[in-house]
Amino acid sequence: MRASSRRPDRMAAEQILGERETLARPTRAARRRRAGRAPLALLVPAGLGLLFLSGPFVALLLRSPWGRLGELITSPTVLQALWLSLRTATAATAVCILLGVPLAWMLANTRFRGQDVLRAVITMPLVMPPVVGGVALLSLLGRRGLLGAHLDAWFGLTIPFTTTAVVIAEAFVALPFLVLSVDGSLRSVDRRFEQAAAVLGASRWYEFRRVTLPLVRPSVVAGGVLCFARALGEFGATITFAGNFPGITQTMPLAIYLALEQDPDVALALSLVLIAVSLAVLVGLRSRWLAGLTGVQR
Amino acid sequence: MRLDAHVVVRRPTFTLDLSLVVEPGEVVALVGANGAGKTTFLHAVAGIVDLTDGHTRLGSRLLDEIATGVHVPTEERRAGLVFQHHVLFPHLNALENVAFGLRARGVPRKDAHERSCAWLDRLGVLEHAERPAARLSGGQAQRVALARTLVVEPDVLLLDEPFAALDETARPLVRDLLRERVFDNELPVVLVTHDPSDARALAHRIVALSSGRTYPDRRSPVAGRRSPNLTHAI
Repeated sequence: MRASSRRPDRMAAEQILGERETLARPTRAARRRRAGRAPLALLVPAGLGLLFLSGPFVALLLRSPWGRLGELITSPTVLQALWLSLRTATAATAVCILLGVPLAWMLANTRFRGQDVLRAVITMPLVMPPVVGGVALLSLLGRRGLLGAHLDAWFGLTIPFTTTAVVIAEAFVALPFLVLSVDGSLRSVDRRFEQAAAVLGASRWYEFRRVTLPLVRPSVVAGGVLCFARALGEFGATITFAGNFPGITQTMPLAIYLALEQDPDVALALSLVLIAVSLAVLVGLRSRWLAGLTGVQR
Repeated sequence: MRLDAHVVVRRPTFTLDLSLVVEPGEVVALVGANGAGKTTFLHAVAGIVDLTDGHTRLGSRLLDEIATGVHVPTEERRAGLVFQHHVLFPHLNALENVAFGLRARGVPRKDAHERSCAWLDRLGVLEHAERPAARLSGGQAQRVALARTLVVEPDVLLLDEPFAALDETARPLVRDLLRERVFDNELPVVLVTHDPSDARALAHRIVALSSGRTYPDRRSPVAGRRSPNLTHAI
């Protein structure tokens, strides 16, 4: 791959986006031209798939108690759950970035035995049912857990069924998103930038902070957004490991589940709030960071 | 400062085996076709590529010696390598690129920026100091890359195809710039190029490399430039 013929900013963007984006560009127009000839055997299932994905949201919007919405979503229980959700998801995202970026760096930059095993372990929370994650967390940090028993005996520290437990549960299920996103991006960074930094006398730590991290920043942000979204929606691990105490561990998804049994209108209203928050975060960050990435002002 | 290198790098497809001594102030051009091992030699001296055998000595410092297991990491070598395609940091502007090495050594920002500006000025690109590296032209990026390397006062200058990314009109300018503003009586310089005319115009000595091995050296007269002090040459 000759780099000289390309503009460096394009190069950087392409490194970050990876080869996939570069390859996709020329074929997109060609695909569109052929869309008129899409075979029925593909068109019908595709339409069904779209309906399948969008139908439930349409129903949710139609069934929502728009008249009582203001009153429902400003009730103390809802505000409490929303505030708790935002706080814990933010904290979990911070934990994921602080632990996940170094973990991704280790995966991308070192070679050691059992690396594939490590990668599989990191991916586990992604494919494992969250409830199992909750049980696993309990067996480590629960009152009689491997570590939890000692924390309790020595420091009087109890983690399960606290707000801290919510953050731990959310970070546990969200961490793989960040690690995988940043790991992929680190692998595609041009080695020569790091070599140039070393030749100029930069230590590996300085090189990481001033060269590598800025180059992969879009992937850290993208991974962080995914983490936040995953943490915000966390249900299984949270209810298993942290329980369901209003104001302490009752996050929005738990509140929605509980409300469904008592007053379905409240569940619908809460769902709308959660959708709005998720959309706001995604749209806000996406446009801002995409603009930074491509140099196009939006 | 004197560079004394015997670089052996074994690869599956070829073996580079080159002994080169460059005296203080001497400019040696390393010429040869693509794949001859020119860049590998520079990278080995800079510590980016590991030697299979041999040694690298820079002044009184031993950087590599396979026999005794000595290996100084890249960041401690003070080897000024200018990459073929400049490799400016795309997220920094020209001034920040030049100041990078000083800042990495803990030089305070104000001091680092002053010294960087002096070099940008000397190489004629001070007016572009605030421009993002990605928006510099080939010639400007070349000068910024040179300034970035020289501001940290390296003990050897390793230029990898400094003319490759330049158009025909810019080449004589950069030749003059190197002769008048960069080369001095102290710094040993290894200039890698595939163009013999660049080598003849700039170097005191030309070393031809083919498939990782040298052909007999030949002296090259440099027009309009006094020869450097070679009294303590072997």
